[in-house]
Amino acid sequence: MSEAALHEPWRDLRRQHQAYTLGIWIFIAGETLFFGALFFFYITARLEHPAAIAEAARRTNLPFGAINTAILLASSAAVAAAERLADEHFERAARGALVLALALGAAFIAVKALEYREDMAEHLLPGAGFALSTRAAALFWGFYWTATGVHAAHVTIGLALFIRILALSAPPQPIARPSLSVTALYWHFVDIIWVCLYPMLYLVGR
Amino acid sequence: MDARLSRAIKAPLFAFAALLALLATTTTYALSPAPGKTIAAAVIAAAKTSIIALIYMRLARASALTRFAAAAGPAWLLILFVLSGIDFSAR
Repeated sequence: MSEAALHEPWRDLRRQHQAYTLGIWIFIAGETLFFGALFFFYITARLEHPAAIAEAARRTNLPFGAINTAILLASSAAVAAAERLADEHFERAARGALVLALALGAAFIAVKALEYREDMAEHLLPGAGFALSTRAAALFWGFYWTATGVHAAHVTIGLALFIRILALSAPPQPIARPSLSVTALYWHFVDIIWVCLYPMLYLVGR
Repeated sequence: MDARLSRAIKAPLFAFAALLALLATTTTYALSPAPGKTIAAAVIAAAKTSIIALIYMRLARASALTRFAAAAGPAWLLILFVLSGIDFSAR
């Protein structure tokens, strides 16, 4: 049976959609506080050690960061298009947009993996053999690995959700609407987190 | 192209073009010798966040209840930042 059908305990599709949307927004509020605590740590570290943080941040790879930002923004655009195309019953085009979003999300992870490999080769992981000498540099790079690692985990979960929607929406089934709307909101939130991380990690000290 | 099809993808494409322009602006400004880079980066990040929230997440056309739920995260975050900021500045 298609996921577009009405589920228990909802009386109509409109009310069901409202409940799903409300639920994911409450989840996003929790995630906002989680990432907000990380961002507050970054702000205090930067206020206490402005010069040392700027020097440490200059070691991040700006081209990798900029390319990944563009990739994630394109992926969000594809998801937004998929949702609107499904609204207009362009099922095939909606599936195509979702596949594009999935491919772009996977490209983001691939670029991030290349960047991590370069960071490791330059000994930018705080701990034994860390390439930088100041405590502030360790704070910055600790934040870098934590924030980007947690973000990459969120991206990976989003990709799994896209695969699930595509599996549920295989023709002749229509696009799995409640799942698409909820996953789209989650994906755009993941995009917003990266939009905030980009200047914090890649543009400081340039 | 079908009018309904072009209408469906118009908003995401315009938003994407605006987001790419803002990405280019923030990167170029950060690499220039201009003053106020941190403020400029924060303002541009806020603009990008607003475009994603209003257009991609459809908050511009959402119900009052959805907007209220969407405002909960930033509202609690503001409380967290204000109280923690007071503590941090008083040390």
